[in-house]
Order: sequence, then C-alpha cells, then structure tokens
Amino acid sequence: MPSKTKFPPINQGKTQGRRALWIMVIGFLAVFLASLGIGRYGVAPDNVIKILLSKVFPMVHTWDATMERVILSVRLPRLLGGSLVGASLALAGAGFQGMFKNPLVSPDILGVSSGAGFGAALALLLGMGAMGIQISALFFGVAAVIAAYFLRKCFKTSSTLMLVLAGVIVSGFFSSGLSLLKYLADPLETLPAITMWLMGSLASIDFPSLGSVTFPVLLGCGGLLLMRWKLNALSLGDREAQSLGVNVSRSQLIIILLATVITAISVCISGTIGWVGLVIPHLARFLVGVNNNRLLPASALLGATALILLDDIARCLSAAEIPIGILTGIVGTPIFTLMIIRQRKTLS
Amino acid sequence: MKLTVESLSFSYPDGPPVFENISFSLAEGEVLAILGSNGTGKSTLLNCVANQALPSRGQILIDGIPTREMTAVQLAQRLAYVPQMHHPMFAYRVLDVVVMGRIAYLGALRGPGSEDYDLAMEMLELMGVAALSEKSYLEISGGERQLVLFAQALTQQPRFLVLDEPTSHLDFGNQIRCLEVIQSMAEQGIGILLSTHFPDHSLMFRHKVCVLHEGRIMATGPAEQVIIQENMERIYRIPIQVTKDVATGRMVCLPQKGDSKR
Repeated sequence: MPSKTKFPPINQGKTQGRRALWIMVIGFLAVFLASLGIGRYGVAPDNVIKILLSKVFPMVHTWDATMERVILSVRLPRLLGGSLVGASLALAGAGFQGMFKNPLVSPDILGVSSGAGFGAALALLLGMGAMGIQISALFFGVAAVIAAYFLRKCFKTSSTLMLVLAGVIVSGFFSSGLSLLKYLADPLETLPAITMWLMGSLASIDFPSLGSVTFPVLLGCGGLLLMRWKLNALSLGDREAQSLGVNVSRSQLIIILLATVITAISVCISGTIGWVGLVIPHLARFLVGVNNNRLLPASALLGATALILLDDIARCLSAAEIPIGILTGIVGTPIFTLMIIRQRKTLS
Repeated sequence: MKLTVESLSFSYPDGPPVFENISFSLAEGEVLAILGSNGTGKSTLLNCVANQALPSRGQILIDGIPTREMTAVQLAQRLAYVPQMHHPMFAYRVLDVVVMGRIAYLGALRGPGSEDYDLAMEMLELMGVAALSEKSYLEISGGERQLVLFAQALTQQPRFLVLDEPTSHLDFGNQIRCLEVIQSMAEQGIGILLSTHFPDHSLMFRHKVCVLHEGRIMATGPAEQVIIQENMERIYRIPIQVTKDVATGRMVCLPQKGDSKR
C-alpha cells in the first residue's frame, strides 16, 4: 500500500514532539533543583542533592540543620506548590482555549478568579484564619463558575459564546462585590491584607496545606490530560465534534468541572496569579504545535517551570518579596505580545 | 441499511414551522439532493438528520432504530456530517484533522494508533490530497479543505454521509471534481444526502432529487423528472428554461433575465 511510504514524516513528527516533551521534563527538574538552592539563604547544589537524598538513603550529615530546614520545610513545599499551581493554571488555560475555540481565553473566563477573590476578601473581612480564607476562596470560586454555567441555561442556548458571556456577567458581579468589601474593609489592616492576597504569592504554602490540595489537583490535571483527544475534536467546533461522535455537552461539563477545580484550588493556595494560564499555552503551541495530545502535557510542564522560575525572581530580586502576580504580568505581557506577532496570521 | 426520515417537522420556539411533515428515505449507495431556495430550511433539515438540531415532530431512523435513541458514538459510526463552511481556529496538521474521524471508535480516553493513521492516510489518498497530509489545516485552500473534511468523514467509516452545500464555496472546476468524488463515495456503498443550489449538478450526476418549497416537499424523484421548468420557476421565482443541450445530450437549466416577481 502506498500509504506506508508516507509514514516516515508522521513518525518523525511524533518523535520530535516526544523529544520536546522530554526536554521540558528535564528542564523542569533542573529548574526545580536549582531553585531549591537559590534564595537569600543560598545552598550549594551538591548540598541540595545530598539533603534530598539523605531522606531516602542513610548518609553522613555534612551540612548544618538550618540548611536542611530551609530546603525541606520552606523551599520544597513552596516549589512543589508553585509547580502544581503553574501546571494547573496553564493546563486549565490550554483546555479552555481548546474548548472555547479561542486562543485568547484564560482559565478565569468563567469567573473563578473573581469569585475566589471575593471569597478570600470576605473571609479576611470577617477575620477568619488562613484555613477559612482558603475554604471561602474555593467555595466562591466554584460557586461563580456554577453560576455562569446555569446562567447560560437561563439563556436557553448551548453555545460556548454564551457561556463566555455568562462568565463575563458573573465576573463583573463578583468584582463589584469585591470592591464593596474593599470599601468596607479597615484601611489600615484588612484592606492591605486583601490587596496582598489578590496580588498572589507562593510564600504561605507549607506541607500541611499542600497535603490537602495535592490529591485533588493531580486528579483534576490527570482528568484533563485524558480529555485531550476529545479536546482536539471540540476545538474544531461543536458541530464538528458532535458529528465525530463526541457528546459535546457532557465533554464540556467535564472539562469545565476539572479546569475549575484545579484553578480554584490553585487560587485558594496562592491568590490570583494572572497571565500564566493565557500565555503558557501559546508558548507551548509554539513549541509542540496545536495538537492537544502534546499541547496539554507541554503546557503543564512549561507552566510549572515558568512559575517556579518567576517565584525565584520574586524571592531573590529584593529584600522584601515581590508578589508573584505582579511578575507574571510584567513578564507575561511582552511574551504574549511576541506570540501574537508570530501568530497574527492565524488570529486575524 | 436504510436511512428513513419520517414526517419530520421543525420550528423554533414561538416561531412558525421552518418545515413540516417531511418524509423520505435514502438507501446505501444512493445520492439524494435537496433543492430549494434560500431560507426554505435545507440546512435545518440536514441538521436534524445529523442530530445537530432537535426536530419538533417526527423521527429519523437508521435501519429501523431512531437516531435520537443512539449515543453520539453510535450515530457517528453510522452517519457522518460535513457542515457548510468550516472556520478552523487552530493550525492542526491535515492528517491530525483526518484522524479525528476515528474518535467514535477509540473509546473514551484512547488516542489514535498507527492503524488509525494508516486509514486516515488512505482516505486522503482516495480524495487525491495525500500530498497535503503534513500541511497546516489553516494554510490549504477552501477546495482542499472540503476534500480533507470528506476524508475525515470517510475515516469515520459511516454508512451515510450528510453534506451541507458541498459545492457552494468551490470554483467551477472543483465543483465538478467534488461531485465526482461524491459519486465515487456513493459507488462504494455510502448513502449520501446533500443540499445544493445547482440543479444542473443533479441533472449531470443523475441524483435522486427532493425539491423543498415553503417548508414542504414539492416533488421527489429522479433528477430528470423533477427538475422541470414548472418546478424550477416556482422555487426560484425567475423564468428558467430547462432544455436539452445538443452537444452533450444532457438536460440543463438556463435562467433568464427579467420578471423576478413570478
């Protein structure tokens, strides 16, 4: 059969994509290990590796206890949390961009960030503790998306554009609610706390908080990765997907559910971090192409790498930490501009 | 296998019926062309047949089983649908677009394997566009895109194919090439339902024709019996001569200028 002769380029494409993914895995691990040693209390790379290995193999301690505490109790949970948040935001962004057939969509398009911001501000205003803030942020983040989903039902349509519109409405509502809470907040203590939370930071991530979120986040990310073939069909168009044998409304619901869970959890442990979910999928598309089979894992890997890199800058650039949400915007916008320039033919 | 449309009606909520009481059947290997003026509900009818829109009354049966009782996967294994115009957003590789036709066979979570890529490649070759396989779906022409979507639909290995105005956006030559491809698909046993604005095409390829007028079927039958002056003038509201072309011996429709109020 002549089709066999056409096979080399396909396989070639496959291995090229795979190679890119493996490079991203190695890049992520390298950045992760380097980031463990970086900070105001610097630790040499060999000591970083020794400290990590000493937890698995019995070793002679050639380092002091502070070093070990900084690496294992402060930086390790922060980096693990940062990786989860970065991967989640980028994965949810890539998933939504495919599902909405729109490369300009970000994970908070359905209102999850505004909802979570409102929830966190409410908890801060009511004087709740760290746990209360996280639960309130999670609750209102998910509630906002549910509201958007049912608002579309009120419009009596199944169009994804109307879902975006519903998301805009819900976001607008919660943003106003947030402004109201800021207006009511004590300007000396609560208001700065709200503002800081909204700017996002990985600083408060520790092992206890990580323990409760890791499983649901990994489950959500895994679920989204499994939807990658369906996402390919959905990104062609709802009708096209339907006629290819995809149950469109059910697949959409699953994707929204998974993306919302991982975004909401990310927001509740790190505050609102913008731009990652929008820019990273573009970067990934540039490197491995548009096929979600490779785009989704690439987005997750790049998202995790980018966020811990930016967090390194946030930790090291000045004596007081810069909120990471500011950095993602400052670094993200020029990269996004470059990406748009390179893809303007496809976008216009 | 037979596709049967039984007394199908469709109306938008609180609106007048778009079409009413439409019945026809389509056998494997047959081409049925729906003719009708703009806005008579051809696309809506095809959407209903392809389960993209919900009819207000009536049903569609494939081999006696109502399509509404089938899952998306079950329907996709029997019927493929190529919509009128496709505006893709993402630069998929052509072969990746075609292999998406296998989704109905892959189960919930599996990706396509090498035999699926083989089949997709084979279908691209059948459509004569194998050379496009590695190109970006955004960078090929409208005519090429149509053939790629046909290849995708064939990769679905359906018994029936629903094509919404397959020739409308193609140039003069591509229209005929496209119809030849449709003919060859029918010869392989696929039943094809298409809508068209070109009665000449149906005369040329001896389609079975169904004339839709004001939401009802005005006439059904072989092209030469249905595409007659009276029917054509009624649906298109211009004077039309249907005559035999001496050179080719084929019946052709010749629209005339003038009295457009008829």
